[in-house]
Amino acid sequence: MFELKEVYKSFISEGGQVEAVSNVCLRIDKGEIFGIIGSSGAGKSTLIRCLNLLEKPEKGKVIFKGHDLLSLSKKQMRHERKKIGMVFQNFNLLASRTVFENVAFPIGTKTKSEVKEKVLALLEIVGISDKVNNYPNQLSGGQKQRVAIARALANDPHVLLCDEATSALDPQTTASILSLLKELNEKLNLTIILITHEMSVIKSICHRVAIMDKGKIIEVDTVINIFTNPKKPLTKSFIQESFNHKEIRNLIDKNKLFKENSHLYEFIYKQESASKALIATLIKKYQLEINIIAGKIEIISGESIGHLVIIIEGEDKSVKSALRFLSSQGVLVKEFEENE
Amino acid sequence: MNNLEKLFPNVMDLKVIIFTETLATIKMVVIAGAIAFLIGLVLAIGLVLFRKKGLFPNKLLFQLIDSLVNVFRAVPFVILLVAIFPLTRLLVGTTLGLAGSIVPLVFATAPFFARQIESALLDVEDGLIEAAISMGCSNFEIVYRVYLREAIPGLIRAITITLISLLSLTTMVGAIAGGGIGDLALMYGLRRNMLDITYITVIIILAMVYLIQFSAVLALKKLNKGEKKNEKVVN
Repeated sequence: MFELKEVYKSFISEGGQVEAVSNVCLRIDKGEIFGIIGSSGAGKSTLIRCLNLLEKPEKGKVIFKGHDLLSLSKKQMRHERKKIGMVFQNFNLLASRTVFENVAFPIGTKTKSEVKEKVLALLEIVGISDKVNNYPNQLSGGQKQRVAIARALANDPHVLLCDEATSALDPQTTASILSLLKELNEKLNLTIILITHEMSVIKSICHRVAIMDKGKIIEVDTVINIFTNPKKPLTKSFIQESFNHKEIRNLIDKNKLFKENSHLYEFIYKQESASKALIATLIKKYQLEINIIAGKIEIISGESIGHLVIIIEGEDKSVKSALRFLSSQGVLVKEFEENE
Repeated sequence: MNNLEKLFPNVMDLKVIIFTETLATIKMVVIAGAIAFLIGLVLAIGLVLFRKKGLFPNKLLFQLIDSLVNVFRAVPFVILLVAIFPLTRLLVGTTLGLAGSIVPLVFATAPFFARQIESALLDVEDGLIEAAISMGCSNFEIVYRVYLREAIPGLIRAITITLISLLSLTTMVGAIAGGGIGDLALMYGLRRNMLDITYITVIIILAMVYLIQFSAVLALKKLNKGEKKNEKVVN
């Protein structure tokens, strides 16, 4: 769907030149929900704007369905943009137009009844049919974003770009917008590219994720791989945040749970490992004392991922062989880390 | 009726003149206002499009319009009036009467209009423009369907403020025999010491200002419906 080759974009700011997007290469496939996560200032917003040339990259290629967008004429580019829908953090609805008129806004050459049919169908899809004649400021944030999504879909785009689409919304509304996006992806086979600073967004709907830092993509993988086996420190800290490492550490310190001679581990395991009585085996077979500090099950890309934080007491030797046993059962064993 | 005659002795005698001069002022405001609005609109759109972050950044054109607007805004009206006499004569053949007053009024009002409209257009959020670009709108569509449409409440406010200031300028044209209510106040109220004429001109001007504001409030209210943020009262 999209292919970025060595895309580069910099800005001049007070402190000199800032490389917002630095030689990014990326491939996004048809039908996937692709997330880009990074802290603020990582360049993710600039990157997603490079996809429809709201920001023009200085170097590199942006290839959309086989065309290099940078080589198109203005008119051709306008045509391509109709195939790339975009929604924004602050909705950007036209205040002087009703919900109906907002959604009808981008629709080009069509008869009045065709437009009406299309708009009503879109409003039905995003679940806001009852607000047709309302004005944007009569709507809640979540409703506004639904209208914005309907508007972005008005020209039947192949891909939807979401620029922090849920960042201005409360958690509950965020969840409902995310499930709408997921539904659109499944029903319409719509490719979705979203940027966010929240791992929870990535976790709940993305298939693949890119982690961005200082203008560079530092890691790209399926969400499940990123969660079970993050490689780069920044990725790890995103995951740790998601698993509440900081709170767990506080809990351990506060209650002085950690004694000398004991080890602190986290286990990450997929559904199939969960069915076995692994912890019981550790206690019985390896004669270890086990204290479960925290346990959680995350649903990631439709798979349940178990996460346990455990203090093990026992002889070094039996601890080692116990961990080996766990690894052989498909459990990912890691020293508990907490890095900022 | 007798009381009224006692209070305004000259007004009753001069009511025909008062009527015609009021009409002259209205004509000045409407004609000069309409022309100045169009010129101001073009200049304002230029300022918005050519600015650094605009759709067609062009430093040269921006600075040209910007300084033109500033120069004409900086010159006090009475001086501008006299200074462009030759141009006025060239354009309309006279410096007197309605025709002679329209030209300087347009020159004085258009830059003011341009600044007011510019600020109304700049109030349209950048995000809306970005959204329109992302939907594949052409620059013309963005000006016409986004900037102008979304700025309508701001434009109404711009028109109100400008018309009221234009109204006050028309009274000054009277000083060089342009006619209108200002002329009336000078000729009769001042030179012939007819105090009641001065008062009646004040009343007429106030009535006009009120009428302009009232129409604006009405127009905004009608537009409002869902747009609560535009409910600011004019002036």
